[in-house]
Parts: sequence; C-alpha cells; structure tokens
Amino acid sequence: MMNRRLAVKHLTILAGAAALLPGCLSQGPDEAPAAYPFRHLAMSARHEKLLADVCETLIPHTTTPGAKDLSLHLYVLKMLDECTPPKDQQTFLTGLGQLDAAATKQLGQSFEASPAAQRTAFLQRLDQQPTQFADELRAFYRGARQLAIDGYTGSKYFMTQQVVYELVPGRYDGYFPLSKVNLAVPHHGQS
Amino acid sequence: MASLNIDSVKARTFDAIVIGSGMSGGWAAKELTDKGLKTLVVERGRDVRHNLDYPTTNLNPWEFPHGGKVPYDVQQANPIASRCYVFKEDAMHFVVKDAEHPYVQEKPFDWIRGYQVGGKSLLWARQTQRWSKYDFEGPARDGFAVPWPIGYDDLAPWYSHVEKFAGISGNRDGLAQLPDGEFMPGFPLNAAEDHFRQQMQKSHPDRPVISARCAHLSKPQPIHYEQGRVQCQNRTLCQRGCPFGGYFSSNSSTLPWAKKSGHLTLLPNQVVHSIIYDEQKGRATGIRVIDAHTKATTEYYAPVLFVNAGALNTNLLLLNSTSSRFPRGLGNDSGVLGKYVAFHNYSARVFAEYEGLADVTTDGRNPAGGGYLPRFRNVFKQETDFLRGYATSFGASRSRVQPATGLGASLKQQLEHPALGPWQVGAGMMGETIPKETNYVRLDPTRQDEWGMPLLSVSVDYDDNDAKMKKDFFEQLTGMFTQAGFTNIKTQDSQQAPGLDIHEMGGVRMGTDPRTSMLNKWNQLHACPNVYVTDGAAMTSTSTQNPSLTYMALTARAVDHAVREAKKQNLKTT
Repeated sequence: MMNRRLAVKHLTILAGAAALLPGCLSQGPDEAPAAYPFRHLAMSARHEKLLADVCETLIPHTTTPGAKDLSLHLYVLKMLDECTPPKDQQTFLTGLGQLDAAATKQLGQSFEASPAAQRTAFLQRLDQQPTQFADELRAFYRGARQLAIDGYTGSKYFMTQQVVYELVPGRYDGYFPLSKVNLAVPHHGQS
Repeated sequence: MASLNIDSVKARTFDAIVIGSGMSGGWAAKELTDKGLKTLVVERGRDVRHNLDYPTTNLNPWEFPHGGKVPYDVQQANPIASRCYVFKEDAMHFVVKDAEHPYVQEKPFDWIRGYQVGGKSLLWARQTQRWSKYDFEGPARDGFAVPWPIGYDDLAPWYSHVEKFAGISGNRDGLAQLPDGEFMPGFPLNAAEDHFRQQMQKSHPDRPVISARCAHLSKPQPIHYEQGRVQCQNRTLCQRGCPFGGYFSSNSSTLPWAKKSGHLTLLPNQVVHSIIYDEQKGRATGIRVIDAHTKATTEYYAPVLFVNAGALNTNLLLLNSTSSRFPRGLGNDSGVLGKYVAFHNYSARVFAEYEGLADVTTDGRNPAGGGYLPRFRNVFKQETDFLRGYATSFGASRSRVQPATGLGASLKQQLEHPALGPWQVGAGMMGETIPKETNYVRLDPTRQDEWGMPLLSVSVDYDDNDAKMKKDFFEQLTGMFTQAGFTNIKTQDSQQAPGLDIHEMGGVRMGTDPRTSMLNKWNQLHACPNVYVTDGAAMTSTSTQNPSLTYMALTARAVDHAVREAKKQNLKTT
C-alpha cells in the first residue's frame, strides 16, 4: 500500500511539474510509470488509465458497483503481471497500445475522449466482429474481458452481495429444487 | 565426560522410533504411545500444528493475492509440483518445491511430496476403501509379483480398528469386492449421480455405483470429540488443513493424540540419513539424522524402529543404510529392495453432459466427492485380455454459465443472475498397475542433495497391460454413459507421467519368501526383524483402492505385533 500511495504521490507531483513546465520535460506525462509497482510489466500511467476505462466499459457502474468502484483494472494488471506468461503479457500490452488508434479510426476520437456509449459501441464491435481487428488487439480484448470478469465475480463485493460465497456451508443436498435457488442469500442452492 | 556421554545417549534412547509423521507414521506414533512406549517421531520437514499452522484455512477467495492461482514465476520454477491438482495458492506451501528436493528421472515420474509434520495426510483426497480377499489374492491367482503373505481376514480387524478412530463415512453396500467397514452415515449421491446408479442397476447389475467412502466425520462419535474433532462442515477446503478436524489427518488426529499420552517426542526438521545396524547384536539399534538447518548429525536409539518415510523415501533410506552385513541396503539380501515399484493409472477420464433432471441442482458441498464404482473387471475370475482392472470415481455437478461474449450492463446482469448449465458428469480411472522388476528406484551413484543424501533415481513406466486397460475403461465408460442417457461424451487421455497419482507403492514388498521379498507378514524386515516398514513401500501389489486406509491398518497391526514381540523378548521399554 505504501508503495502505491508513494507512487500516486510522485505521479501527482510529476503531473503538476509537467503542467508548469511542459517544455522542460524530455518525457511527457504520457510516459510516466503506472501507479502500481509491477514486477514485470512496463506500464505507463496513460495505459493504466486506458485499461481502467476499458474495464469500466466492460463492467460499468449501474445500480451496482462497476470496475472503477472495485479497482478491477488493478486486479487485471496484477494477474497480468504475476500470473501470465511473458509472451502473453507482451501481446496484451501491444494490443492495448493498438486500441486508441483503432478506436480513433472508428469513433473519430480517442477512446479516452469518447463518451461511454461510444466506448461501448467500439468494444461491442471488438466483441462481435473480432476478425476486423489486429490479432494483438483481439487478444487484449479477450484477455482483459476474462480478467475483468474474474476480478468482478471474485471480488468481495460480488461474493458477499451478488452470488454469495459460503466458507462454511455445513450441509449438502443433492436434490435441491431449482425453483428455490436464490444466489443472493446464503444457502442458495449452489456450491 | 564419560558419564555426560552416557546421559546424552540415555536422553537419545527411546522405546521406539518412527521415521516420518505422515499418514502411516502418525498411526505408528499413536499406537506405540497408546501402548505406553516412549516414542520418538522424526520428521524431515517443518512442524505443522493443527490449526496453528494452517495459514490459509479461513481465507475467503477474494483474500488470496492471486485469486487462488499460482504465480507464473512459481509455476515456472516448479513444473513438477505445478502438475499436482493441489498445488494452488491456498495449499502450495504444503507441497515440496522442485528445486529444493531434486531427484533423478530415468523416465518421466512426477514425485509429489509433502515435507512437513503430517506429510501428505494434510493433502490427501480422503477416499478410504478396504481391500477385499480378491485384491489380496490377485498376485497369486494371476501369477505376478509374489503372493501376499496376508489375506483380508488378517487385516479386517485392523481396518475396523483404524476406521473407528479415523472416522469413515460410507454406506453398508454389502459388496463382496469392497467389504463394508465401521461407517458413519455416507454422503448421499446427488440427483444425477443417483440417476447413473439406477441406470447401472438395470443394465449392469455387476457394476454398483455407491457413495464414495471417505475419512470425514459425518456423524462424529465420542472418540472423535475426544480428539478435538467435530463434524465435517462441507467446506471442501481440506487441503488447507481443517479447523474442525472434519477430515482425518495426522495433524488433527493421531499426532495430537500421541502427544496427549505424554510418551511422544516429535522432532521436526530432522532428515534421517540411515538406520544404524549393529553386527554383533544382529539388529538395528537406531538412526542417524541430519538437522535440516544446521546439518549437524545426531544419533537416536531404540529397540524398535518403524519406517514410514513415504513409499519412495523409505526405499531411499533403506538403500542408504549400508553396513558390511548389508552392503546393498538394510535387509536387502534378496536384491529386491527398490524393485517392483508400482502405482495407480489415473491417466484416463470420461466426461459428458446430462440434460435430464434439469429442475434440481446441489446445495452445499460434498466432501466425499460423489460416487465410486468398485473394480468390475476380472474380480472373481480372469475375463479380459489384460490383467486386473480399475476402480472408477464418478461425480456430477452443475455450474453457472459464463457468457462467452458480450459486455456492459447486460454482461453484468448475466454474471449476477447466472443461468445454470446442464449436469456435467465425469468418471476417472484408478487402474491397478503390475509391479515389475524393471520398475525400480535406486540411488544415484554420484549426485547428492543439500544434506548429503544420494539423489533417488526413479525408473517407472506404463506397460501394455496399462494401455489395454485404459482402452477398456474408455470403451466401458462410454458405453455406460450412453446407456445412462448422457450426451456429448468425451474421453481424455492425460498422458500424465506415473507419480502424479501420488499412489506410488512397493520397493520393500511383503512376502513369505525372504529370497523374493523384503518384509514378512508382520511388516518386519526378514533379515532385520526389529525394523518394521508400514507405508506404501510395503505393498506387494496395488489393487484399485486408494491406499492410505490399508497403510493405517497395516501399521496398527504391525505395532501390535512389535509390542507383543518386545514383551516376549523382555526388551526394556522403560
């Protein structure tokens, strides 16, 4: 946590400095490192934010919390950083890098600058007509989508308020009527 | 100085020494201390105390740093351990890491180990079936290995003895090929499993589908409460160690029991280098151990030794215990030590779906895992072109459907209110393999581990009989699944190496003839009878039962014999 706070603090300072002295920086704020201290990934703050926007589009805030509320992009990045083979990491990052250009081509502006409905429309196309896009971008989308789903369904929020996880069921019924299944309460009819 | 030395020797002298604290070592400790013997248990790994050393046991899924997955770096560093189903984020601290304990694979062999107090008893699949007379009679009837020196009747009372204490759940199914035991109520089959049972009853009455029998407390008895164990809570997180003691492990049951007797000394972090053989006395007098951390060598002494290091490590230890009397390893006059190693063939599975019974599902979790079909091939007589047969595990469940495409609010909606898929059914083979001289372990002539122990070199492989049996399993289960109305039937040949079954057995086999076996009918080394071997190494053949229950029964029986012998010979037991 300290690392992250520190990194965020440094990022803020750097962004502030960039605003004051844009011409003096050889490195623009776009190339600032991501806030999360990765072990393997070279991730810029801009790409981290872009991924957060993608995750929010995949799992949006509705009547229930969305990706940003649950920091799902950090889960995605952690799993990418620590549980994914280097080759797949590289493909993911390359695909992420291709996203803005592809979005701009379709939407006329960057993914980040586009309103939520436009972002959704773009990702819908990636979801439904993947062959229209580059291999890496498709791989990025499939990977980000799966990890975001895993992060959402594996979150404390989801497992305590949506499909309730029971650490200690204390029972087994092999003939539970489907009509009685209610996933939002304990004893809901699933493992 | 001299008297100091005598005191020191006295402090290192016990009535009995048990090498290893896993499934069978824990039982040896419990039985020996129950009979009042001052017992030393040495364990090569660290201490794991019941409850105190189960760091993940009460974690919720979201509390694991990687959602339960093993980080990529760890996987890369541990290709062998990573192939084991239990090597996940919640229990990988109980599995030996590849680099820490190397061995030599003359042929591919995944050696899965648990170096800690309790050994693999923390991690086991808890399936517990008795052998029947047809299993013990296998080698003699079919002409392989050597005849077992004991039969079902020799072991039956000891099965009862260990079942009552360990706590076994199961139904009294009345099957000749799978004798009933001392059971608490079995865990019921679910709707789809029961459907399969009923279908088989009609089409294959010789293939009963029963509730898997397992070492879980479905209805604990006073003896279990006395151990500090209570009813299984259906967590099915057993591999983390169970805070309820709901399943049997050395850690939750036999070791604390032995400790309570006041007769137990447990020494973790001690690698046994060799068993000391006294040429004058003509028996083993103790053990030489290496401290896992300091590497200091110490000797401990006792008139009775139990070797329970885990099948292959027991072989390693005996092979490394050389003397001028036993230049090829302790008790190895016959030259069979390390040979006739066998295992269970787990490489075949059949999956399918069942669209019926769509209006029911399961609630809670079944620690028994589902159903079990005892061996139905060649049980009462030889009837196929391969020897022996296989037991089959059978389970059914329904899982939530995760949409393969889509995003946004509708995806969220589908995740939050998931549809339930059809019943997914699966059958797994546990095939008997035939012990052969060509399946062996030996000491690597040059390489040693960090503690100066020779590396174990393993040469174990499948054969034609295994291939034929696997083919039969695929054919039979496909036919049975079709009969039961299952669809989308798929066979899967995992091609896994031997060892991943974690049922490696033999190398120090029992037999009546000292020229062809290592142990007599009491599990004593023929040539050094105060050394008992009662873990998987003792197995003459493997049959098709999960082996732990049989190791427990053999151990309790052998301890009873050892103590009677000790009394007869008036051995000092302080």
